[in-house]
Amino acid sequence: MSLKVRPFEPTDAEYEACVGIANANWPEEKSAPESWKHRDKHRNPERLFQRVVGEVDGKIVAFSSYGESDWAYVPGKYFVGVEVHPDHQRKGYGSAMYDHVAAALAERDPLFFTADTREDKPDFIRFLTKRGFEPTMRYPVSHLNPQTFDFERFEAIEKRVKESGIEIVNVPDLPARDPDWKRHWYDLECECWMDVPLPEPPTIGRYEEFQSRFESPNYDSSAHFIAIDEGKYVGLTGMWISKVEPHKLYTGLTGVVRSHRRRGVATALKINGVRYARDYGATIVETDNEENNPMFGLNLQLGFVAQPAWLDFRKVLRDPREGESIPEVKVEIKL
Amino acid sequence: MDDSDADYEATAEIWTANWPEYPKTAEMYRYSAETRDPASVVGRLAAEETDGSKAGLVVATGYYREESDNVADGKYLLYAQVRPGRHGEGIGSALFDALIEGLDEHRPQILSSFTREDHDAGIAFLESRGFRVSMKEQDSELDLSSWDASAFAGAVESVRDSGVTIVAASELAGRDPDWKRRAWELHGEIIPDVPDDDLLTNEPFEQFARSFDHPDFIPAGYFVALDGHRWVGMSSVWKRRNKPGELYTRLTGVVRSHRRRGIATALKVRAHEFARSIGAETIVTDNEENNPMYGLNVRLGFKPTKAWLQFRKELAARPEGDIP
Repeated sequence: MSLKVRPFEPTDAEYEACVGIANANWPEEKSAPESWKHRDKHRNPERLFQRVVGEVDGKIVAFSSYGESDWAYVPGKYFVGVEVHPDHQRKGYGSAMYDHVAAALAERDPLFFTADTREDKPDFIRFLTKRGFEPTMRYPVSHLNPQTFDFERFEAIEKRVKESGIEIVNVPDLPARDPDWKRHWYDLECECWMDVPLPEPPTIGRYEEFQSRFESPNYDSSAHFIAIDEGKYVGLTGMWISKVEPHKLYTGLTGVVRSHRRRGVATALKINGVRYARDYGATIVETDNEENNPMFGLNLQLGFVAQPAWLDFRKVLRDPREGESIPEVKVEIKL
Repeated sequence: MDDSDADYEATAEIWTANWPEYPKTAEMYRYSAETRDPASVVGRLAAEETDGSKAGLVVATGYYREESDNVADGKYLLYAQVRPGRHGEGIGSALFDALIEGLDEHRPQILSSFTREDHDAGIAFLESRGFRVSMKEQDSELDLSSWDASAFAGAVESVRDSGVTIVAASELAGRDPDWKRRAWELHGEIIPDVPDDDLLTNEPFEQFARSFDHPDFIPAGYFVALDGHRWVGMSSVWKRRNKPGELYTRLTGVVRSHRRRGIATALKVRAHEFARSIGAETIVTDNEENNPMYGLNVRLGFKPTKAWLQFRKELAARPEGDIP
């Protein structure tokens, strides 16, 4: 049966079909069509984003998203994601989707492609390595059950942070304290984001995109906390709720500005997050960390348990020209 | 450890005993200590024999310090060295731990250190402490006695024909009273493109200008490329005071707009000709292994010698998580 590749139509049916394929491949991280719609609606119009679907007999069995990364933008870099429904894998549809996307991107004279998959998916890894992709970064996923979390163990750290004058404030309490809380939160997020270990340097996000969270189906203001030192926003954590799995929360950007690191602020923030998660009724808080980031060690100390890791890959297509560059990969990843 | 001659002597002696190919003197250590940015953090420790006939003998030295050209907040370079014959007794570990403890009040976020790639014990020492290799720097050496400048005549000529001239600092000083500042500005334009773990930034002008008073500086061996009035490239050779006949290079680079036109080659050819004219026998340099500048040096006749490994350990939790 041959595969017909065509552009994605943003109808409910096609969202459901694509989200269904992604959920079938990644049942541990299910998503909802409304979350996809929200994300698509708020994409940066200056960055390429395309989604194509692969049909067999009029039924969508695969899709691919590709384009420019808005959070770690490098001219000439394009991400390529291919998902084939598990019932239709090993029929050459993934290759056909990839070839279609690679041909579409060839017109743009790409410098390198990026892709990701998880280390417990040998077929997906082989799909990438066969095409010349090489791993660039490894991010172990880790899980914590907030229902069995021992808060007493960390009371001393919370107390020490508090006594040092740093307050942990829940986002719903911010507007009463600070009329400019959104802008301050955004600035803090930008500062922390720039220091997240990624294979390519992070890019500052747009304020519009930051604001789009207030309409996100995955946003609950009570799940977000800010560390404040004499009015200055110095650290943040947050969790995103799932519209599919009520027992699960996903860790959002969590970090402390450089001047305030190594004082227990990240731990104190996270404990507030875990308290929220416990009251929310979650049994899994999920996060992922670049494996050499001491944040991973901090999570393990908190009781997070490591799971299979996500892997970022890169395929270099040509030599950089004047003014272009391919960010160097600093860590060797053994597959 | 204090600023006594004895301590500098011990530091230089242990260094040179461990790395005889890179001899250092007490005077060199004293000079760098005295010309450091006084605001930057530095700490030095020594381990002494306490008993027996050798009581008071310095058996190990070490330091931590901030680098002036690195913007990474809280990044410190650490190095501990032990007198040969006293390795394997735990002295290095004790000293290293003491350095880390001394550094703690400065809230370090990133520690860096180094050793040479053929020094297995040093690599194991750092790896067991959670350091990992962040960069490899290849040393290479040019034998001037067999170097043939004529092979590069074409490159030099085409650069000259394009209107770019190469001038030594000894001439610049007469032409432009502000030449040090212009050299500093050019340095600042080039340095962010130097491969490093962290973005390099220009050091303060006062600090940079001090390098022209350095005892290794040779005014006639410091070259800049000029395109009209614009300063577009630099390369230099410096004397190794305690190794006659050897010169070493510092930053060579060309501004982005003028790359891939042979200007770096022309600058280096000029520097090599100068080196030969003053009777130098070799020039040594080091490059990050993937930097195209290394390829250029190889084409110019440099032969790889040993490589140094930069190590790094992150102490502070960097942010995690995704922006939705």
